Amino acid sequence: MADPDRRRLLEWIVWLGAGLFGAIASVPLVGSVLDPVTRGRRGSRRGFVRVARLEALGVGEPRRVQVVSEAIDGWIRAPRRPLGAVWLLRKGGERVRAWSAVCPHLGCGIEPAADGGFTCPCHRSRFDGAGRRIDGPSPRGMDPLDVRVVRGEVLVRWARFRRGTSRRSEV
Amino acid sequence: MGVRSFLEDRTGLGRLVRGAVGEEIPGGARWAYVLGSALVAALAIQVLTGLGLMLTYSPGATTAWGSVYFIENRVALGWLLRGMHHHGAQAMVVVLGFHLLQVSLTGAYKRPREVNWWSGLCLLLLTQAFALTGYLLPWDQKGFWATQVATSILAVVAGDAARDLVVGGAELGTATVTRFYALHVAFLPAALVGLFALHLYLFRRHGVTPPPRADLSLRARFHPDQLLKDLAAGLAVLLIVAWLAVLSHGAPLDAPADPASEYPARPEWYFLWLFVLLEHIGGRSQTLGLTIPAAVILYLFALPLLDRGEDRGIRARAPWVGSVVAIALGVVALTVWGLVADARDEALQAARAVADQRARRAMALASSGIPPEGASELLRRDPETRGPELFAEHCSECHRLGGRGGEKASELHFFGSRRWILALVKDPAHPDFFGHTKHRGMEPQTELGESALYAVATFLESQGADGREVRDMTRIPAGERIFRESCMDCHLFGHEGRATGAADGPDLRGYGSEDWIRGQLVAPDDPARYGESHEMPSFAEQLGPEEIEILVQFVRRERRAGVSLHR
Repeated sequence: MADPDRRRLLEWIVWLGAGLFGAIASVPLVGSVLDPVTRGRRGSRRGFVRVARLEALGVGEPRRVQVVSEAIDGWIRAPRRPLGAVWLLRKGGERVRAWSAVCPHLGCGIEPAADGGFTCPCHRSRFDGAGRRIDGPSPRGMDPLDVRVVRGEVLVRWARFRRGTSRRSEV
Repeated sequence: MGVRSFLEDRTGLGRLVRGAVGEEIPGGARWAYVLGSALVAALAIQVLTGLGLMLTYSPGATTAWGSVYFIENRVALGWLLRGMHHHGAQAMVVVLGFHLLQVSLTGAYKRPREVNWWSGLCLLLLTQAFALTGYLLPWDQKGFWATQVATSILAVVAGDAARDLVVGGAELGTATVTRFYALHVAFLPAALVGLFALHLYLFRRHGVTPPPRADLSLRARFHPDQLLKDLAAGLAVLLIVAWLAVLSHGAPLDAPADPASEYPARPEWYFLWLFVLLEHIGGRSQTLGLTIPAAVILYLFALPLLDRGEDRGIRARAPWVGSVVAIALGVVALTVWGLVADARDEALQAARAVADQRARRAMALASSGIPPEGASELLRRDPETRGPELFAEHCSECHRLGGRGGEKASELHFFGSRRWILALVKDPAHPDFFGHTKHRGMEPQTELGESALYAVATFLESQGADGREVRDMTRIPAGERIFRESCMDCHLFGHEGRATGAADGPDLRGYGSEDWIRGQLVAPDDPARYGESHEMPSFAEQLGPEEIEILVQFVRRERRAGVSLHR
């Protein structure tokens, strides 16, 4: 064991072996850490959900309603759970528009503004009554959602959108 | 100045590491010294996999089982993570046993290493605490019932207050899971770090214990000479643990904890010897079963004070070595005894089979999501599992199923099917039907003739049919005609028929359907059913709507088994 080169080599083997041990023992840990990325997104897209009765909506008055539907959260399957909120605006007759109440800027909840439009209380983004951006940090107007009116019931197809980008895309 | 020398100059870390691992080993490096390091390797596996489990595990009576199921079946490599943690724990116990045996057989606990021996024994007890707390965390039947037993023993030994303190209340529940979790991932690890540091420091202070006749002029350095061997041992432990985890594809998960169920509770195999002591040797007093292990622990603690001679040779210490060997053999023998006794216990094996069946069923149900109310609802809401249980609990006192059960009311196997109805109309007073009831109004209808009865039975069977059944449609209109002509003097059909004051045959519209069975369960005294002559209690108060539904489905399944389907 006097040979210093041999000794040096053995020292390196020890360090390498320790690294190998750590690497193998960490495999399942790394797997579960990376799980949310490797498992793939499930996407927020889902079917139409009943949110209101048409006759409960006054023409020209924005109404905030909750979207309640089946939700899968980890291992839990909840039959009815609030997914988010929607702004509805009845234009007259069966014509209803819907926007996600999630601000396209950083995801705060959009509120109605005194001027008939909408505003985000977190960073003062403002939108007009048609959901178009007026000013503030939001990169785009409010995110519209598909609406259907079936036998006097208002149905909305809930979706989530990528935030902070000027181009609108579902996530 | 290079980066390396800069860092060394400012931190001195390199010198610290060299100082920590560069010591000389009198007598040279040996394979015999690797057990302590193998234990460190097992501990490292537990830490790394434990951290991974913490990312997903959710302590709580309603969430724990679901999160463990999720780790096993959904999280990437989650099965490997949990499998390695499970087998790593066993490896820890096994290696610890050998480490303890080696130190005690070679007399390494002698002066000046007494304190290190004691810190090691404390680490052993700490490991048991890890095992006990970790066993409960999945909140499955196995962990629940084992903990129920362990904490009951605690109450016997130390009083109810001590048990409540550990359990977090009077009963096992969410507070127990959070407490055990906090112990398992924070309190015990903190204690472990402190004790392990002391153990390691004392080991460095006194060095290895070379064999009595070792050539001490041989010199080697810990790094790399001994570390190389230690590392090989550590890698061997790791590979064995990983291999076992792959073989078992994860770790066992029993059905979700259910305090109302029956379960053949058994501790993990390394606690089995304690179980045997309590169960088979201690008898009813439990004192002996608890005194023996306590005495063993105390004896081990006292060993360095009793065995005080300078000579560490085995022959000079025969009584002490003998006592340790006797203890080890005793533990092994008791464990084997327990295993053999359990394997031969047919009742236990049968209960085990039922438990395994429930576990498989819970897994199958969980694959389509777990309700927010918790995993225990999986089986409680499952007609296949709960139906027979509810029937046994509430119905079998009077009703029979395939000839087994009570003798006060009708046989429900094939209830509402054509063959069942046909047998009834031919002999209503048969014990399978109204023979043991107060209901005696119905005469055998044999004078109608076999063919007419067949048609009537076919018609009545069709009353309970759902959309999935394909029936012999040709006989139904004839059956209905005969029924209306010959049966409605006594029977109702959708509230029509049955002259006032006539015999009180029940309304047969929808006979055997879900609504009919549900009505019979909640309102058997309805005048449109058995009215005055009813003897069946109403279950509207006794059972919740979900349980009523499960019973309805259960009886429907019996009906479906008898329904003759046509192509």
